[in-house]
Amino acid sequence: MFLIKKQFQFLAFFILISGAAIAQKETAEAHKARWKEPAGIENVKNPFAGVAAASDSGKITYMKICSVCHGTSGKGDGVAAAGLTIKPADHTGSLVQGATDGQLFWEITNGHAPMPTYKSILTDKQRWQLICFIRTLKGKSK
Amino acid sequence: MKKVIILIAIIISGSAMLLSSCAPVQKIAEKTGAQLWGENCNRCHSAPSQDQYSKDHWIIIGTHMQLKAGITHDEETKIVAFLRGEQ
Amino acid sequence: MKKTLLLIFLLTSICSLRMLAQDESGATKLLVGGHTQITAVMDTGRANIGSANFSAIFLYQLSDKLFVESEIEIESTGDAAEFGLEHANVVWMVCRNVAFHAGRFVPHFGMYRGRLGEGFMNRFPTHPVGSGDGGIGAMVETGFGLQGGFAAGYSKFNYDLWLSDGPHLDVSAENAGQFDYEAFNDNNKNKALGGRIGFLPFSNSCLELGFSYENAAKTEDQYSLAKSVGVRMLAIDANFYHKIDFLKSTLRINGEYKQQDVDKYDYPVPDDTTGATLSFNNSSNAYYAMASIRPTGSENAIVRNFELAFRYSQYTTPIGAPWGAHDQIADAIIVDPVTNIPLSKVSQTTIALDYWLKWNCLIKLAYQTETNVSNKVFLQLYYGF
Repeated sequence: MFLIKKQFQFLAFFILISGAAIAQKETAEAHKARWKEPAGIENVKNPFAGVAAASDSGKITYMKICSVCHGTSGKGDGVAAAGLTIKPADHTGSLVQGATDGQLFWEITNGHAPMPTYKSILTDKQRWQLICFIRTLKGKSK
Repeated sequence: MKKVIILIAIIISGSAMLLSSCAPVQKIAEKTGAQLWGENCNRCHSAPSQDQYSKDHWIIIGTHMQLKAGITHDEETKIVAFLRGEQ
Repeated sequence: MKKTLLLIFLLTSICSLRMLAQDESGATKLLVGGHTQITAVMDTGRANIGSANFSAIFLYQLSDKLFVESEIEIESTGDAAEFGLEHANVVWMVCRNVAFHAGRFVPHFGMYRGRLGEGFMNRFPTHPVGSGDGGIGAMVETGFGLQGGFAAGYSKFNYDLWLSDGPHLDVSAENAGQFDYEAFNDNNKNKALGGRIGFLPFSNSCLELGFSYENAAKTEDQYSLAKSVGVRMLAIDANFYHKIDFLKSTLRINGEYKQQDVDKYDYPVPDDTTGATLSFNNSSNAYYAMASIRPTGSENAIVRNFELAFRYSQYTTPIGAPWGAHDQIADAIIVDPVTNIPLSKVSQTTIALDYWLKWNCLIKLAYQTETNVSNKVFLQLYYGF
């Protein structure tokens, strides 16, 4: 099965483009599904807001679980980030810091691929404490 | 050859007994499924996310990878639980 | 010998069956996975989309303790498609650190075959010289063994120890002193004994070092003159990965060294009436080293999926042997263009630029140079699932 050079190059180009398109489509779809939390959830208050010890407990959980993808500084550069179709969220940036505690709680609880669900892995208390810690990451981008 | 095999059989049964008393230090034993998933899968390939397989399939893949990559049984149990979204 | 084998087999089976009887989950789970690839090759003379294959991997979790895995492959070779059984293996989880396996299995001999050289773990569309088809050691073996892993302090160990039918010596004129590693039926009573021990010294599992050894004391038909020719093989492997923060990248380095020593034998020369024989020091070795870097921490969704990889490999075959390293693409022995004698040392350099479409799917674009083989450009689409 021999092909002349031009046809071969065309085919190679076609494979590359279609492949890149598939990857892009998945990324776009994942983004569309983002923050589709039910109405009213944004007003749920964090029972641990302002409790200093809560953020310390949150940090322990963060380093043991979240940092694997989101990185130890929350920038979304953890060791397992490579294989995920979309880059893990930057917890220091406006997307996460701009969301309310209620919205973050909903996201951690239910997840959405590739973000896992932590409904059973973490208790309600641990998830609220995590949010207390994530708030301390605000603006630490440099 | 015969001697070698007998010797190896003795070594294996002996070490199997020893192994069961072998234990990781506390810091390692406290590692979460998420950490072990990130560290061990990435040894050879990018770690797949939770949504890539069903809960039943993660059990099968756990066993498969335990055999393929020499992951310990305790690690496998934790990684599979994490990928199934369980504690 | 036979009795000892039988005893070990019986003991292990009894242990396993006892475990099976204790198991109450019972629900059979099946996963059909596999992989498919298409590779295009181009050099100055031709452009050929010549190779495509599809493999189905069947994984059955019959219970907590019983596991079956099998792989079937359909591959395009030359003018036709070939259908083959890659492996079929039954595994009993005897206890936490010990699993017993029996069947046609992929031996943990080195880390390349069966692991780092497989599909989407391999960052290149080709294999290093001496590690692909026709290289040192078996791709699959038939037999049984014990494997497992355990933690010790901050470190971890894993092991695989097997007894298999072992390689068959080839005494034919063209292939004298080579082996058929993967024959379905054994040619003698002797079994090969092999194993690998892996060591992960660091608590984050970023480095694995391995040592493998296999010994077959007899490799020819029991009625043959060459029946006592034995072979010893060893492999040393290493695999390392690390996230480099200031480069926002993940670095991977791995390599393997393999050596094979075969007992001396005077191979008959065909159509010879003078009693001449062919004899040579039958030792081979092969090694490869690779490094790759991927900007996994990049903010750009396209850039973070690229990976740049480099590999160097070398294969040394016995001087005076009628065979040598294999050109994987042309399916021929690499020879000296002037004397037409097989080259006893062949090296290969490959540089690849990969694009990851998913964690298990990538496009590999590679440029490869090899001793006395035309330089080639490869384009491969690989999907594991």
